[in-house]
Amino acid sequence: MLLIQLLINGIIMGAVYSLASLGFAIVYNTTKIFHIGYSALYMIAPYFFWQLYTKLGLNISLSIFVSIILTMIISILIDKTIYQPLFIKKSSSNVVTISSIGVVTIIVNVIAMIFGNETKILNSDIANTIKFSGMIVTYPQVYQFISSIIIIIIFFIVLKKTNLGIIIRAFSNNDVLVQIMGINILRTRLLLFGISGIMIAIAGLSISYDVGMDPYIGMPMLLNVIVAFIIGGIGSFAGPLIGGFFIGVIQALTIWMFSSKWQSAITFIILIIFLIFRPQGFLGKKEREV
Amino acid sequence: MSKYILKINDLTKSFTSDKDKSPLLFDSLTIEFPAGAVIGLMGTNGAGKTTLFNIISRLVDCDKGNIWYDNGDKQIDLLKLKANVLKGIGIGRLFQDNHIFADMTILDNLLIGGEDSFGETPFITLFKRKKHKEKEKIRVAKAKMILTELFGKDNYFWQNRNNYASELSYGQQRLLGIARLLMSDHKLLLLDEPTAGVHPEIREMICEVIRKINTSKGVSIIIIEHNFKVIEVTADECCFIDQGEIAAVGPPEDIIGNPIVRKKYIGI
Amino acid sequence: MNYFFHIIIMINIYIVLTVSSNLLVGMTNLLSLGQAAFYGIGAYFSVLALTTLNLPLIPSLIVAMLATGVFSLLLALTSLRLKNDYFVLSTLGFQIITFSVLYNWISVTKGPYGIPGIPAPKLLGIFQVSGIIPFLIFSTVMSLFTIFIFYYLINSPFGRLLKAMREDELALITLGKNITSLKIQTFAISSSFIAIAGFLYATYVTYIDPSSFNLDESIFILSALLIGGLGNIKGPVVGSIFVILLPEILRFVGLPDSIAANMRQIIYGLILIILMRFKPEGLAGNYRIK
Repeated sequence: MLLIQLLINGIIMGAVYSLASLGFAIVYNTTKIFHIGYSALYMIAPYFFWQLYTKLGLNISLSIFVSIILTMIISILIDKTIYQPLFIKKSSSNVVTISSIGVVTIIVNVIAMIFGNETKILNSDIANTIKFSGMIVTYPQVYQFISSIIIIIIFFIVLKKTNLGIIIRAFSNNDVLVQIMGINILRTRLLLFGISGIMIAIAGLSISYDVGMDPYIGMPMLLNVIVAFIIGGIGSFAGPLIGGFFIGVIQALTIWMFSSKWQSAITFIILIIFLIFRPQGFLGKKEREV
Repeated sequence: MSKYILKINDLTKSFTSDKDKSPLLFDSLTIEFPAGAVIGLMGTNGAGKTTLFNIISRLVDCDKGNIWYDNGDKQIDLLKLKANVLKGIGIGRLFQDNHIFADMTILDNLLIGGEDSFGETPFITLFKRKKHKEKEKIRVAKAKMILTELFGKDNYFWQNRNNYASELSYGQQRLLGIARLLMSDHKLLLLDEPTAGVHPEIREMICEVIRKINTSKGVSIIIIEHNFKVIEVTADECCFIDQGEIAAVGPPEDIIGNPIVRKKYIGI
Repeated sequence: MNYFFHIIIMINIYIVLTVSSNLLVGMTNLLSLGQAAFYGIGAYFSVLALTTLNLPLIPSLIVAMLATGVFSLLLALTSLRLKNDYFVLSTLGFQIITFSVLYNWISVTKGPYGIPGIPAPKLLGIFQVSGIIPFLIFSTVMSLFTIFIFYYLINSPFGRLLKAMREDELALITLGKNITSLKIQTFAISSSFIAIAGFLYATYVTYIDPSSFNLDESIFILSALLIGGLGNIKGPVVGSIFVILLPEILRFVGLPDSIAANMRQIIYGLILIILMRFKPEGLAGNYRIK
């Protein structure tokens, strides 16, 4: 019984991982940027919300909307001011990764300086729950699951049915081709960072609404996101979904078999097993060796 | 039966890693290269020349076959070896794009090619300082000797030995690459388009060096080359590869005169 | 005066950390986010040797170095085939797993409670290294020793191979060098010297807990190294002095303590970004990370 409850929790968490991981994939598959700055966006969205909703007293849907937009803008700004100049200079991937670490350091500490280090609670009410045949699901969990799934579905519709989707797919295969097609890479990148920012903002808001936040929640989340992304398979957009749910379920099983404190270790042991034996992940294609 | 340096036997290699679906680049390629000769390897782009070199130097795997290498006293199947042991059994490789260490000095580039790797592990570096310094001196002397042998006394390379290799011209880097190969004794050299994209003057120099290595040291050389002139000057024998198959073998003048070859190359 | 000595001791510890890390990051172009893990392993094994095994200074130091070197092989064997982002990721995984073990394996490491009362190491059976002045001397000797060893390594035929490897692995293979063994040696040397820093830290502070060896610390070590610069000895030394002195300068300027810590991090982040964009070889290094 406990196992099933844990699995339900794991699947709900898995949906959020999938969403967040998809946002990471949108950036990595197209630009090959190891976007560690992504973790800061996850954390900053709920802080925007907290400022707007708790401090300024805006209504809840407007606060959500505005904080998503603001996060999106930050995401775009990161690309515009940090990554794009490096792209233009043809800097190496390690240089970009290090700059990305710099971005996180700055954002996290700015937030800590303004809002303090302590945990902030967004929703102090005791969460309402849905009970069915002995299982309990809280309302925030329902929001997490539904919002993640909706955004994922929208993204896949866009990916399959629209021009933007074609560009994203072309971009993730080969950006030289995109340039030949006459598409402005730099502007398209901003769009991609925007979409990715929206996704991580929603993930950040829905989790923080449940458990609150502090300035340091981004990195642990990012680690899960990256693991989900790698396990799912670099280069594919369905990969993050598989990886996300896989990690969610594995972590649930870890709680069941050992204890929640071993979650991160087990997650990374799985990552390392994948890196050794199947570096292309579940869905990725094996890179041609040269 | 004449002695061979390399005998490629039934070599099969598909284009991509997906063996079942991919077309074959080499289908049971079989060929023998005689020892002590300079062999020109010709063929149109995409014929598989460089891939063949990569397979021989163990940088690329193949699906099946053997490559027998005769180093004088025993035959070795190269496909059972790892890339980094080939130098030890006397096989050297010059790449199509220079692959010299541009951010290192000319001298360091040469020293890395040295026969003796004493002092290249940290513990020896730290604890046998005296001996490894002696060895280093020997290496430097050898570098000087090689450069003098190749380019005469007071040559540009030795005089500028402490300059970065990146400051050299493309053709000079080529020459440096060849000099680096000579830092240790080889039995077989694989030269991938040694004269491509270099100044005619340097091209002549390279041709001369190739002949010199072959005649004075008896090193077998396989050389990929498009330039008919270079082939004529350097090669004893020539082999034309087309679409992964040996299309013609013979003395260079025959191959260059061969209508199929001319058609493939020049279109006439 | 003691305050001044304290700063020099800290600089010495970071010199050991960064000079050794430089062999991996600067000479081999392997960006590692797992340096704090080695630092921690070194510190915990030092404590084990000093307390449980009750060994004097030099044997304890050797135990710590050997043990850390052995652990580094674990990481080396799993990560050596990986390139760029994948490599960074595997070191990140190593960092997270190590921290998790230090934090959660309470029966052995005492977990978050830490290990207090680490005894002063005995030198040659007569001399106890305790108190600030002996520590100043001890740490200076160790950092000079490290500098000497690495200076010598970098400028030896071994160092020449490393330089060649970071430029062109393919060429080096055909010149008959074993890349894997080179990298393993680099890992082992770099990390076993980091253990010296762990030893210094543990015996100086006389208390260790896992929080000194977390991902943030890894990022901090890497920042110190990258700010100073890669590829030579001067770079890491300058970087260590810089990151240790900067907070003191901020305090001197009169920044309130409440924001000084964050401000410092923000400055590090900014410097990283600016350096990566305009001067990737760092303040005093001679190698641009690829």
